[in-house]
Amino acid sequence: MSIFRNILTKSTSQLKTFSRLSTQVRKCSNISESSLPDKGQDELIDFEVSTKEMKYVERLMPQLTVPEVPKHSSYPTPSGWVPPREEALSLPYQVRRTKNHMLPVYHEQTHQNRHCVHIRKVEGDIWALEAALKEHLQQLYPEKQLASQVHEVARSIRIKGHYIHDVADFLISKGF
Amino acid sequence: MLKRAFCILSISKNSFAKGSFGNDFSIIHFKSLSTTCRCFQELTQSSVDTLDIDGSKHLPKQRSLPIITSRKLEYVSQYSQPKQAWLESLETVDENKIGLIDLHPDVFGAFPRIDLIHQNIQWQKLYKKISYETLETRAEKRGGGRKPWPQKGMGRARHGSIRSPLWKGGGKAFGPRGPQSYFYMLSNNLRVAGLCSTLSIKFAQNNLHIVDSLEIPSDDPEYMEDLIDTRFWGFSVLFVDDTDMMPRNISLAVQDLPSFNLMPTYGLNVYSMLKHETLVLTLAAVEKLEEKLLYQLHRTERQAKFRLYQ
Repeated sequence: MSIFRNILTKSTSQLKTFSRLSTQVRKCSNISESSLPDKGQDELIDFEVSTKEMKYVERLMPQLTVPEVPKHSSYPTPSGWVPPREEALSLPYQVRRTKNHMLPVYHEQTHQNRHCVHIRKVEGDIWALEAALKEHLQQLYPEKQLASQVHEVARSIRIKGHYIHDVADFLISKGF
Repeated sequence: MLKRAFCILSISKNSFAKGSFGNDFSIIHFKSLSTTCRCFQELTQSSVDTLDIDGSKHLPKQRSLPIITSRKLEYVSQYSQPKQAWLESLETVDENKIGLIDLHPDVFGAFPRIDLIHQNIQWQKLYKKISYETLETRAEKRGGGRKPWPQKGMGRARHGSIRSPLWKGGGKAFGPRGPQSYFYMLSNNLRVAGLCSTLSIKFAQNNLHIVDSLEIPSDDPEYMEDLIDTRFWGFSVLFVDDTDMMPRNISLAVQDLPSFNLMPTYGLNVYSMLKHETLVLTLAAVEKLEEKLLYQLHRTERQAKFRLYQ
């Protein structure tokens, strides 16, 4: 009943309808009829229809498709996420974000000590991206030998070594 | 000489002979419930079709041509532009362009992954395959219970049974055993990528045509043949509409022409698209395909670990 009282005390611009509510007195063995409140046969109870609370239901329901990232006031976000920038369109190569708006850069490990960086979803001149990546990583690690693989059909690049964070930073700096 | 030429012809067209075409089918119904015309009406504000009470449609009136429209595309990345295609019509034998529409780049402009297309075709061939080959083992072969001759003293090789794999007429040791199924499911993402790659290849090679609907003025098969010859639409054509209740005229025209086939969108597959040279989609089919494929490309993976074939 308190729910009805709360709705009634809200703004009267809400739609108000009245309905006849026939009270049904249930016969319970442990409750005597005299203890129940007096109700007339045709007492009218007014209620309001409100759809403002539906958002609390909708945010609990599972989403079928990944939604767009909401606009934040500043980047990077508290989790470290950075949106892609428009200046990346002018480059001869592009690295598209995944459907979850993340960079398509993955760390692969086999045999306990073999680390690779896997960059997927490369569009445009894939060899130019590979050359740029190797040049950038060689500057950071001059004494290391860099081995890489370009898969033109699958549009991916693999680089041997534990350089995932350097590669991610490089791609973010380019605006992907 | 003539007979041999005829045989050669029949072999080359054998794959399109009736009843031996695998997935493709031609369904004949006499009432059109296509949503294509409705889609086109929503898209353009030009003169609309009128619907009679008994359900038969008048042929559309002459429109002011060409109409350039932009469809609402979702999930368009900043790195790719929408592809554009002519919207054609099957009302006349000659080419009849009635508009220009946008196509989603992720569906019709995807990178052609020939390795994934190959995987899709292999899967489509194999998942239905059941091999009924069986060969009996030495235990199942008739006889062979007794030792043919004593172990020693005969000067012959030692044997225990006349049905061992070494013997002529003996059982097969590791042969095929009974009905064996080659069923497996390719993951969802691979099948989606195969469809997008094939559609992109068809579009890039000018083998994809988009029409407003599959309505044609007559049910004569010659009309279809003339239309396809005039427009150079290739030896074989696959018509795809959103509905499986195809219009009367095209169903009758196409039913005895084995290389032209009608298909609903839910039957679209990589094998059929590559089998037919030309792919003709209605506007409703394009909308439906884009909606379904884009959903698969952008869906959440919450329930992935509880699904069987993902």
